[in-house]
Amino acid sequence: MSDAAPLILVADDDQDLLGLVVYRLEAAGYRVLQAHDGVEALRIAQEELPDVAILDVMMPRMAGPEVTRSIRADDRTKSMSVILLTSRTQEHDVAEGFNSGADDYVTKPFSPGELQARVGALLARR
Amino acid sequence: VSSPTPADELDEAPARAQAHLELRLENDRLRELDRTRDEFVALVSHDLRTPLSSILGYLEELQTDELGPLTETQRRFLGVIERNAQRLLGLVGDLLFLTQAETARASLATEQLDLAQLVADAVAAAEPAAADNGVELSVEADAGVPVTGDPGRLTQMASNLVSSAVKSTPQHGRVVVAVASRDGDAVLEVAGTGISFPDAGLEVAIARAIVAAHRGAIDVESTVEAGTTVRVRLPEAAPGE
Repeated sequence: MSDAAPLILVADDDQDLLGLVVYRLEAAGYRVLQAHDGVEALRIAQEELPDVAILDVMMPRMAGPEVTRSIRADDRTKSMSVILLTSRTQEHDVAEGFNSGADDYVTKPFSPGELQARVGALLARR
Repeated sequence: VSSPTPADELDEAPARAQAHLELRLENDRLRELDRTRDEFVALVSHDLRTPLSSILGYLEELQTDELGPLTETQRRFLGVIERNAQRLLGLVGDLLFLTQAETARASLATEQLDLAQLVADAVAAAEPAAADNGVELSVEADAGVPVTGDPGRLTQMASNLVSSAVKSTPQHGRVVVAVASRDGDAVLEVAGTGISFPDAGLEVAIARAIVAAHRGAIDVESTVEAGTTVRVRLPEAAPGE
């Protein structure tokens, strides 16, 4: 990793929630990229190679778990840390998230401070 | 009275097959309706959680003081917003539980519990609200009333019944909660004095669903003189079960 602050990609189709996560991570000193749907998220992940991708599970055009699988299938991005955001708490949804290769899973509503702490934990493991 | 001849039975067979088919189609239709409703509730729950996520998340940012110091009044008002957003979130969870409890039986833990202890905790939690409403709240409990069930859900059931009794009892009224072992049943009674009617809202509906999921029964008695009594019977766990 270079001297620059870690680069985080945040993808969510809800503008307010996206703004909240971007605000929290920028306040914590990270560089942040934004996407509003799954296809845009995958393109940015492949072009900008962020350290961590935070992906909403239910997004237009491409769902979070599908984006995660594509990230894992690509040699350039396969070691990227991925956190999925979901509002569904059923066990099979959580299982699907982890099966797709996500490193962590955060259920809405989540505390911005807790999400920041999880990003920090994933970066420390890299 | 002549008994049916084999020929009569042959005549009936097509009619019976037809009735059978109609019943099966009706069953399929009901199952489809259940599925549609479950999908609808799952969707509603997602669509309600996303805005609540923004409300609670931005609140957390405001309450950290990083954006400037808050006055006491501002802090208190933000606390009210947070409490109500949390309540809304609880209701979304309840709504989801209610649908699941009716169809697939929500996943319940089964533990050996003391209903008396659990109800005492629910009453303690309702005491501040009772004091605010000017309602006298008391509990009479046998020592140790064993039941088998889900501790979280049974606590929620007791809390919902006590809290809706407190809310629907007029000022200067009384709510008496009793827990006892009776004829092999664990019985919980929540009685509110004065002219009050059981809250037909979500709280009582949730309590009903939880009782049904535990194979218990719930009934309500209401008179103008005595007020309203909600009685829950749960199968009592055998000692050492």
